[in-house]
Amino acid sequence: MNLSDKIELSSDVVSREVGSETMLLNLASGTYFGLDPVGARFWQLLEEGRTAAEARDVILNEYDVEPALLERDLEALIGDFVSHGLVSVG
Amino acid sequence: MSFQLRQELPREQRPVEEPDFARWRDADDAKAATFHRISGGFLVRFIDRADFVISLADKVVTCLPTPDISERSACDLYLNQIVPMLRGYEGELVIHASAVAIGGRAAAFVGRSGRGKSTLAAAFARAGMPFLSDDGVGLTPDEGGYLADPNRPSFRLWMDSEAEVVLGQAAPAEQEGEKSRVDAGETLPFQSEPLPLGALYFLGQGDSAQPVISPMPRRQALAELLNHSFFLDADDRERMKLHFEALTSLAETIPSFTLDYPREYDRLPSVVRAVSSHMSNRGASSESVRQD
Repeated sequence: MNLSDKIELSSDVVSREVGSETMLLNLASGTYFGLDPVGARFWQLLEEGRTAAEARDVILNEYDVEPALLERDLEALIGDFVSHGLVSVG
Repeated sequence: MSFQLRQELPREQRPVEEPDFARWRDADDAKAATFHRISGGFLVRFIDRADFVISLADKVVTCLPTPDISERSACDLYLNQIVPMLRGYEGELVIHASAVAIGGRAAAFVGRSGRGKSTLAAAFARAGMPFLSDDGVGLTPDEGGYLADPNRPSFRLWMDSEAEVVLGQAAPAEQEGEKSRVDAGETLPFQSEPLPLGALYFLGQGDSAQPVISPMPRRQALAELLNHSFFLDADDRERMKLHFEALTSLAETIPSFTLDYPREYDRLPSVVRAVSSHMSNRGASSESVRQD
């Protein structure tokens, strides 16, 4: 997948901030998934209705990170979201 | 808790038609218990020990022990495992931990079965620090923190732990039978009033050569609490959500630490000293403590 794909967050997911990080709980499967601060910010932006590409651009403005590296990490993160049933990709 | 217990005569465990939706594993990673949805409630099977049929409508738990388990052990299973689950079902927060009183606050030791929670709590009690629970700690939100509630005034210990920790004798050469119930008393004082919860200590596997206490990030603490809290039905999404929120608040509010130490009886006094010192010194510049 890539960042231009449409991402839909599962309605079964509950997120809670814990310190500077975020925990996602999939109510359907009972499994949980932890996010570091950048991952937490990405999830928050998706929750706000941003596309993955828009979220990437916001994060690039907020964090000192190499664009290619960030894109690769976000694509891998989306893959993790999919495998944990947290999002679907159209 | 509003459920009542009904005891049936011992019988062999029969196959359960309904598939399990959850499983517990013991310290050796063997399957120890299975959870099944049945008409009107749940069946919780402790393998080769007892079945508990939970009827939600009439709030009755029926215990069906196997012939191999004593009545006392079946009762212990009910009190230590089923009751906390039902308390959780009814909205209370109960974690899989032992707890002791140190300097007016409770320290909770969290870990899976066989990790040493009861033995460690008994060591504290033997050193004069009263215990609140040897297995299962109810937590009540209170004034920005939590109160740890006292549980039953007794321990369930294997023979070697009872001998070494409580009686101060050499452990028997061979372990036989079930755990012993050891009541609170002068040797093992009990804390009968709730105490503010001061810290959560998540027990390591015993890889460390000496007691080591390290801060645990809150997210990790939440993940551990999800694994070490009593929750009956993961398919009940509304209850699951409330449970998650309650554990998140707990992880956010109460400092969490990993505690690892060698599982040797003669080293327990050093663990007691390390944790006591840590609880007393919390607020000092360094949260990491290594104790000889």
